[in-house]
Amino acid sequence: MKFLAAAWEQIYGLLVEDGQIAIGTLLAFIAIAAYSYLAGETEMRNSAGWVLFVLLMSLLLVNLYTTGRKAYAKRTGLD
Amino acid sequence: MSGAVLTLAIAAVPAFVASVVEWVEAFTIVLAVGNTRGWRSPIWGTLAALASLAVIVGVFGTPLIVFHDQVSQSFHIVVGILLLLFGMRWLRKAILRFAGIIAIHDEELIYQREVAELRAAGQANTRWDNIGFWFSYKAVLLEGLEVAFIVIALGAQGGPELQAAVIGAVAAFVVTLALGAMLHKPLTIVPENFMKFVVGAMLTTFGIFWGAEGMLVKWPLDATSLLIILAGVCLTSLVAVRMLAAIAPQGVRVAARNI
Repeated sequence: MKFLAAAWEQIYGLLVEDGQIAIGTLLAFIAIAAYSYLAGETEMRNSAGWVLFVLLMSLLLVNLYTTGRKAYAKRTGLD
Repeated sequence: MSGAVLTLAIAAVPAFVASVVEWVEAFTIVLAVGNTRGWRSPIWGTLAALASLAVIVGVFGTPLIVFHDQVSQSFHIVVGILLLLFGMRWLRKAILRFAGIIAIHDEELIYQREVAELRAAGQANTRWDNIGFWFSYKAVLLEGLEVAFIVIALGAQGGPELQAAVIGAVAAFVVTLALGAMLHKPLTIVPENFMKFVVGAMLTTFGIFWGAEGMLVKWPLDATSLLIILAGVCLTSLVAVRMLAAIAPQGVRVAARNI
């Protein structure tokens, strides 16, 4: 049982380590799905890939900024 | 770029680099078991774990190839999301380590911790050592599960890609084993964080590319767009490291599990 729990933890941990990144990634995909659906068969649909790229890189930067600030505050006792 | 070279670049290279990172972690534990309790049981534990992993890749990988054409579009989306979740996780961790926010993964420290734990468990009274077998089996299987996931995700585009990903993972195992047998100590010489960054950046790139393709998006330069996305991911990472260095110039080096 302990081994199965460890295996599950390992598989879950493969994909989710930080909730903000995991949920943000899924939301970015949903946003892009809506965007490409609304764009229909037009040229605009083909920009959805770049929009996804921008959303994910913004998510990464925001997440790292928050994490860095939190870690620094914890270490220096400012939180 | 010819088709074969592209397949190799897309599936085998990231599978190789990611697998080296995982096999090095498994090797540290197997080495600790072998050096404290003898080599017979950990060798069998490793072989049993490898057999289990081969079954996992066969069971999950085969249907993906067989039914690939029928579920191609939704499949691209699923693979894209999985690669992104995995890739962004490694990318984030590597950036935090580069910036000194979390401590660098230390194989030597892990080795010493495992040795202490195994010594505390006492020596086996018989030739067959259950503790040694299960310790090695668990380490290789759990680290190998990550390898299996990467192989299946990268190989999900078709037969040649799965073959290339498997070759990459097996080559990584052979290289790690050869290096470990030669040095007979934890493989601290492997630049674990840099490799994690490379894999994170590559998987994030493929995830964006395939995920968007799954939503019927056509990339303007086809596969060449991959290089542009990869450059963008690397540039963002550089900006992120600089940003974190400005927040905490001396670094804070907390343990990864505390972040």
